[in-house]
Amino acid sequence: MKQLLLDIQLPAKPSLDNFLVGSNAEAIHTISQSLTAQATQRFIYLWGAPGSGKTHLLSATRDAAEGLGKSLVMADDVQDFSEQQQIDLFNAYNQARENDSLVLVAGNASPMQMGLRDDLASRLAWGVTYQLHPLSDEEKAQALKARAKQRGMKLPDDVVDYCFRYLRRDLPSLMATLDALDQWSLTEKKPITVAMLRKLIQVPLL
Amino acid sequence: MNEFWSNCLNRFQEELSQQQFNTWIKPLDCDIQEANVRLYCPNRFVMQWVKDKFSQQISQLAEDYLKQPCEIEFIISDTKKIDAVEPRVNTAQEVKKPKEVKKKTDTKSANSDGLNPAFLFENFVTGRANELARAAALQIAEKPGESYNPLFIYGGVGLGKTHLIQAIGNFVKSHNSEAKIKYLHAERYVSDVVKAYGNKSFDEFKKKYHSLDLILVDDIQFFAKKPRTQEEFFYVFNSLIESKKQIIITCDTYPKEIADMDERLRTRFSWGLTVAVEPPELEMRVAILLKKAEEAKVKIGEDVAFFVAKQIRSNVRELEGALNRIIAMSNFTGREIDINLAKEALKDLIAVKSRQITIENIQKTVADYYKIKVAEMYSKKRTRNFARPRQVAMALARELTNFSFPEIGEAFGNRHHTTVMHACDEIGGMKNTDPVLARDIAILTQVIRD
Amino acid sequence: MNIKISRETLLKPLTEVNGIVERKHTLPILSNIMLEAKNNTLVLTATDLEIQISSQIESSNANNFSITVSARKLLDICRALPEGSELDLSGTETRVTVKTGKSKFNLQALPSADFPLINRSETTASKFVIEQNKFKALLRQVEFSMAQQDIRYYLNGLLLEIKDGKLNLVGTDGHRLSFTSTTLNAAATNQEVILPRKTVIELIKLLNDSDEELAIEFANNQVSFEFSSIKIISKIIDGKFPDYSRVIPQGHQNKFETDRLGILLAMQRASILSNEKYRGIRMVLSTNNIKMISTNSEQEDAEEELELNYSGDSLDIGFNVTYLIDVLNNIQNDKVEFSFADANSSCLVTIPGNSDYKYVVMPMRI
Repeated sequence: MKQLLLDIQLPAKPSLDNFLVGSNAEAIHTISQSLTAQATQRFIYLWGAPGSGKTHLLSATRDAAEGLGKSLVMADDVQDFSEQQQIDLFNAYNQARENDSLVLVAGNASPMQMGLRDDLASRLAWGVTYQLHPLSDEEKAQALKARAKQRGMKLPDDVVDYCFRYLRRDLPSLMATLDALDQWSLTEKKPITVAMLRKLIQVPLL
Repeated sequence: MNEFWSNCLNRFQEELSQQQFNTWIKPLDCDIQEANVRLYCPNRFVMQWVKDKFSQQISQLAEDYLKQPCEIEFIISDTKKIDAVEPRVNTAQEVKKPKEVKKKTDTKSANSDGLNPAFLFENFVTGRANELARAAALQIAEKPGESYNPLFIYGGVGLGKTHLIQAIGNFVKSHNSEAKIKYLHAERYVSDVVKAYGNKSFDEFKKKYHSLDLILVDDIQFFAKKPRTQEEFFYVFNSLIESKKQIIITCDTYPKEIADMDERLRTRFSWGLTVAVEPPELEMRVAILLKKAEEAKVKIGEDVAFFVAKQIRSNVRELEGALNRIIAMSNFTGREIDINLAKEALKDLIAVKSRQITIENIQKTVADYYKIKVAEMYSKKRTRNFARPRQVAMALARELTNFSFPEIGEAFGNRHHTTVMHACDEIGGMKNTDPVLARDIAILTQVIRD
Repeated sequence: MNIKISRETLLKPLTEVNGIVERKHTLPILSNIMLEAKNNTLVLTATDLEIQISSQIESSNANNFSITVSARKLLDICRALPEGSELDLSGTETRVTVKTGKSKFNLQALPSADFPLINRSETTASKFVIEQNKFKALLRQVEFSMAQQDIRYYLNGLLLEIKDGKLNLVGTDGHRLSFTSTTLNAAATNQEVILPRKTVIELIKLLNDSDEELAIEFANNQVSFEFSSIKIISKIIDGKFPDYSRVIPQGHQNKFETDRLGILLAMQRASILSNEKYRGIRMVLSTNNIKMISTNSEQEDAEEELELNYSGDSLDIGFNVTYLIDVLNNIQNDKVEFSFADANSSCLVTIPGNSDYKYVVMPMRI
């Protein structure tokens, strides 16, 4: 029999503040600025490898925009858009230009290199384009610890070291490991230790 | 100013577009001593350009004027530079005016004519690529419904088609405030038709479109595969043409080539004048960048404009995007805009997606580099010839991928993860003492990343 | 220093403050208590840096002094001396002597200047007064749900929340949550703190069952409690407490009311043959009937059956029986109500006619 959990874990929602900047300072600055009255850029395109933080920034911006009551056109993984989706985004983009809304789009390559419709691609390239650079291992460790802290968890350094040694080091994998550890330790009422992590990774993560 | 040069200026002003003239010729100064013509250029870029493109014409004019063969000497002049800025300040004011207009009318920007007051002939950058289209547009704007009908402008994306037809709309509006004008994107028209069908409100729809004096439809290729829309537009088209109302259409291709379009419409589209806008050539791209920078109240050097224009060729939007990013980077870092900053900023716009690096790829590259078989990457042989490249490949796999030590070990013939850790430590240490190895690794990293 | 005091007079405050003294601490002075005589009072203070307890007694024959000595040793000495002994304490900065009758003890002392007192914050964010016994009862209703040494700091304590004239207390370990609430006598500023587990345990030990006043005061990062002759200053847990309202279910349709004691005893019996580690029992509900079934790894099993008034869905749901026994042991009411949604959703335990108390427990997947 397995104990089920109350939904009491602190939410660690992606926000612009809890994004570990690394070498993406200008991109984050531009995004934050775009939400203010002094916005100079309203059309932002982000691209980068998986795990570079696109989705985090998109959902953080959506939450922030919602909080401010700003209208925002947003699209993630635009490289996978079907013909119809591209037309829809194209229309939304044009609409946004008319109503002074914000546009934030992300994909896996720079605008002109994803084989999108020219009219859409050229519009994505029209505003400002940023490539998001993945974090270094040190920065990823920092991000992991910061997330643990946000969740009110104690995460020992040796556990972090162990993760970097024996597990995939892309940020989504690391965060998934943290989530699994969190869940496991709350269910078992046991602290997170290397021994426990070792045991945990012998079975597929929750 | 000497007589010769003012003649020259007049000639060029006639022959070149305003933009070209302002960018290349106006900043020049000239003096003549006997058969020696000296041209003072504000910088080496203008000098190079004028030398390449216009020196023949200038020397021809000089020979005609002096009635003897002559030498043209190009000189970079700092003093003239200041003058060269002046005309640009003037154009800046020209640009500012419509901007202010825009502010005033901004509250009405959602107005029913769909016109954006920022799009004017005055701020439309002209070059060889769009001269004809601009001339046609201006002519029609001056006498809507009286010359060519329809005006069909086609060309690739981001070449200013929308700007041009909006400029027609704004021009007509400013000369005749009573004119019923409607600018709309083809998609909007499609949804209007759908709405009219849904609400059975065709009378209203007809009233709205058939009574126009000027209709400007952008991106008509969006009518493709929409027979109802095409039919409705067919009626609008006929009714407007009959009553001598002006129709202006843009498209990504010329009428005959539009896919999935009613033949009757295709034929009608070419009844009037069909003009193309071509991608801007280098000088025009430079001119556009300078103009946009000026509008943004940012100073960029011609060298920077050249650099960007050379990198980005496809369309004007991408060009503006590049400039936006350069300005954003300069604002953020507080650095002056120069070539180095432009280079950095453009990286994000033109960099090719980095390939997903796999362990297999690393193994193959390293094996090729050391001229051994890929199989030796997994083999148990421990001779130095194989062991060292294998270690290098392991270290690179650790460095360039997110795989864990155990996963890397597995990929190298099921080796224990401690073997991989040892390899990484060893290679890491040797890199500092063995310059040959360090170079090997640098080259390999480069090759694998590209 | 010099003070004469009866064994019993000293033993009471000594015992009161001793609960928080750490036996082994890297800071030796923390195993000491501070004795401070001033204006005919003697104050004993202990601290573990997180919480500080002072207890005050009248002492007309003491000169002004302050000193620290081993809490444990002084307590052991007092306890071991015969009842009615009159103690004579004297000493210097470095040594304290306890004499009575034929006994004499020389204890090492440390200067009180080195004693790390937690200073009472000067600003007050909010304060209120409540009856000691009432507050104690509230703590008891929720205290058992707190986590112990969880890696999530915020679970190792109780939420103390003043909200719109009500005092709410909440404890949870992620498996179950208890909530209790009372209306305050006078308005107080809204406030929300997490009280460390240790403070909660000490409070329950030290609060008496009278309706004498307990004054609670919130400041920056501390809460102080003043009652009887005791003052407690506790730091609070830095962190955010989960949004408890989200997990308190509303509208569970499958419910029954029953005698608390009857179901408690049945559960205790059933639990004897449950798995020692996981303590799982199955509750099988059908019309007017509940069966509680346990099995263990030795293939032994127990079944307890109760008649009750139930007309909800048939349900087969597992629980850690300890969590249910805990709540049944800690609520003071003859009747108790259980309500459910389904076998994967929480169970709500309430006191009929009292909306101030709620206990939520998650099931175990069978």
